[in-house]
Amino acid sequence: MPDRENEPQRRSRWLAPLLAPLIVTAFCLALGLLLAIQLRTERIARQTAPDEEWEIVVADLIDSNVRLREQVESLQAQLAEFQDPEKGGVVLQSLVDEINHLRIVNGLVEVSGPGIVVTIEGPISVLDLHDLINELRNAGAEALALNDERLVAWSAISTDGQSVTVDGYPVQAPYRLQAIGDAHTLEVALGRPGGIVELLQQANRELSIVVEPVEKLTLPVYDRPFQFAYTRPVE
Amino acid sequence: MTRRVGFGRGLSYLLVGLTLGALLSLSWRSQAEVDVGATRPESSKIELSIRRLEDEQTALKTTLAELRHQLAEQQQAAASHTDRLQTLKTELDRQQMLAGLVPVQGPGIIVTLDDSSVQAPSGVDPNAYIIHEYDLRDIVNLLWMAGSEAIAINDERLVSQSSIYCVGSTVMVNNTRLSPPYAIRATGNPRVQMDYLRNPSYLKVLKEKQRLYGLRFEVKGVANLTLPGYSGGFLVQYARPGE
Repeated sequence: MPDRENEPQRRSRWLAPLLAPLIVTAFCLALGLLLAIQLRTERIARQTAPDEEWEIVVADLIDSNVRLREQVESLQAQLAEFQDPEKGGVVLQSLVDEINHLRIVNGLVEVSGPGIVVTIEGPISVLDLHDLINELRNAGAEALALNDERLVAWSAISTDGQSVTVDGYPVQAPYRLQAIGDAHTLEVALGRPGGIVELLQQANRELSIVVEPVEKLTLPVYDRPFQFAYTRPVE
Repeated sequence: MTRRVGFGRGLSYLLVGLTLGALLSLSWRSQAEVDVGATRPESSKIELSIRRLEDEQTALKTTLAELRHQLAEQQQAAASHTDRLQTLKTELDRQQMLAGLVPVQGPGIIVTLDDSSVQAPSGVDPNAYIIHEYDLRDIVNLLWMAGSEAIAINDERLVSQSSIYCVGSTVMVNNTRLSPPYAIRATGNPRVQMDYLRNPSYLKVLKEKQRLYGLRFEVKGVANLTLPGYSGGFLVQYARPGE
């Protein structure tokens, strides 16, 4: 009996020292649990807040991308304007083409092409040479030279008393008049019945004028100085 | 004594419990973190769109940088392009001026030529009483010799492809019919031009016809002449630059 009575006593005696720590441990566990729950809630709360923030981030990103796209479009438009053939290269090229065209016309570039060579031997006057040149121009000569002296719009055929001069520079007989253009047209213009060659040769039996078509002629550049001293464009 | 010992042991239990609790809570927390990451589809959707937007932004910035670079190059080119354009315009102006395409003004002379007002008597060649295209040619050649800088007959500017010819009794210049009186206007030094025209060695035939048949041949110095520009085209089909 006393044993039976003692048993719980013994048990309580065995439990008694453990009871307090157990309570404390349980309490602490509960405390830890609470802490954890608290943290978790905080965590969830923290997770929820960014959803709104992220929406702002997304909106900002969209805004910034829209602006970037606008800038891209603006720059592309500017670039397109630079590459517009109307405003750039085509204008430049047409200028270059026109200048090159006029350089040929003005005798300021060496030129080659088909044409004729008129060889003149015997007595010929300056005026007759001038008439021959006029006839060639009339037949569409694109470039002319007399004994490799390029003739331009303002070229004057003259004489210094001994020999024929082109723009003041003497050229020696036999005279070779070189013309680039349609060889056939040029030939016919000079050689037709009643044409200038026939008329000149009828007037002077000692005069020999030979017209030869040439597949390719090369005429030098007009290299005399020329400046407008009295003439200016009309304003 | 026993109570103090019990209290000390209780304290150690307390510490153990606290540590255990803290550890538990830590483990729970990391567990919570894992859970959140895996179980929030709306968050990953947002992350996805953010990543997409950020990628787009990067791409746009790259494009923008590339475009800015290209534009800078174009602007650089345009600057030199403008310089080149200016140089070319200046050169074109010069070539057009030389070609006779530009209306010009300056001092010079006017030579007026007209058929005789006298009726050719029968038996006399009527050709002696009219101005021929070769008369005009001779004067033009003389005017070039006298250093003239620009010449026009009536309203036709003489250019490198101009010819003075006749069809029947009509004088043609630049494929345009001219009718008398002929006014040859030439810019240059009027004194020199006058000297050449008056020189008895030149234009002998014309001067004789003037004296004998009453052809009109007048020369007048002018302080300021105006000449039209050539209005035709320059056909260049056969001539090519270079050898």
